[in-house]
Amino acid sequence: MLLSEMKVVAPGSLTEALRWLEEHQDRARPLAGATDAMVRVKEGQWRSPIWVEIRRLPELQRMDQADGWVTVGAAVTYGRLLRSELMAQTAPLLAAAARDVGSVQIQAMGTLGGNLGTASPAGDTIPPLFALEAEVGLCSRGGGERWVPVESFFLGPGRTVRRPDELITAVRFAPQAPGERWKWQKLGLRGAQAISMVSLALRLQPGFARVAFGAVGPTVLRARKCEAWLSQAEAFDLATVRSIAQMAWKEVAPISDVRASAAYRQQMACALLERGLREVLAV
Amino acid sequence: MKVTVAVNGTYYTREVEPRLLLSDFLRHELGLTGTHVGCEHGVCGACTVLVDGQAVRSCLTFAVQMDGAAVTTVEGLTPAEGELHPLQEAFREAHGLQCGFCTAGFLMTLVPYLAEHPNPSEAEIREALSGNICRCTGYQNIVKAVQLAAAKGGGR
Repeated sequence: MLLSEMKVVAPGSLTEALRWLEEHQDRARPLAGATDAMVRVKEGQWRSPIWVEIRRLPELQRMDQADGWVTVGAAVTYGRLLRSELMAQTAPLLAAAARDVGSVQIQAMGTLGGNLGTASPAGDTIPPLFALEAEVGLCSRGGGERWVPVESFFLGPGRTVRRPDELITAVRFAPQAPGERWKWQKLGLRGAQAISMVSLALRLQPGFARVAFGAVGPTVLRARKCEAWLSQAEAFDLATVRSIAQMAWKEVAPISDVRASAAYRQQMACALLERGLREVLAV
Repeated sequence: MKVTVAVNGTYYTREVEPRLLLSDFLRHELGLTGTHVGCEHGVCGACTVLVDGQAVRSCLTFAVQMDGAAVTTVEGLTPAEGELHPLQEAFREAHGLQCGFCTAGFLMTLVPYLAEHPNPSEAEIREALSGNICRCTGYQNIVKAVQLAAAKGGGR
């Protein structure tokens, strides 16, 4: 289609937004901060006839903690995440990743829901959400609300289980433990506003480990063997840490692209895990 | 599509194509050509403007998304005819620009940053301006200009 035929609608409520999606299905696409969408549109992709603007919907702005869940609305920006007192207390891992997304200008517009909807394997907020075992809230007019574990949400690069009539409305997760050790790491071609070549979200407590890698597979993935060994290890010396980190080699499934080769990504996955473990364990 | 935006304190209502970018709206509809357009895909930062007080890339925003928003461009920085914003003054004094193409974007990124962080370290300044590209200065004098503005309390 021609860009001149494009339409942007700005519903005033979630119900109205869901009606647009239900009525127009594949012809309509949610538009949040536009930081990914606009680039794709300019590349000639994502030529959706109808864009449903959801950035300012009041129903998607929440950030709260209740009944054991921390809930973050889909339209909460990276800027709000990284400045939030609630995030600093309950999910510093996610806040740290939000700080590494793009530039301040992108952080002011880009949203958590948008990062999920774009479904890039290199999306920076996604490894923390895997490590937090978060759930993604989807809403439709016909089906109401459903919560999908973040690991089941992604089907591949750019593909998710979201139906065309559904909207990502929120993400929820249990808070990180107060004394827990955690680390977010991102390796890009330069320090600022680079797309990740490898990223790692790490959480450690006695008998508990979560290791999630970004940009080394068709979706973000968890290194379950590393997690098992980390949660069973009785003491961490340098040799143990190194041998567990080396296991990441077989757990990731990267491709070669313009940013890095598959072999380099495999090596760097191990290197990031070793570096992260040595830092949080002080070995 | 009809859009009403407050730009530098003045309300403008225009009938625009939904595909129109905020950067083109400012430059072509309103004639505010102080906002520059560089890479046009969200990397160089030249088109940075403030939307409700926050630095945003105007080339990655549809004008119609700004309905009801308050936008500030570099033209809105100067308090009065012939006067410069303290940050602009510092850029001039510290020679923080050469060709000037990127300058508006740097200013619009740094004005809200300095308001939030009145005493940034050099490393923090470099991080704050990492979303803006300058091909002339090598950034040294831009960093000095920000330090100078901060020292003079130029965050405002």
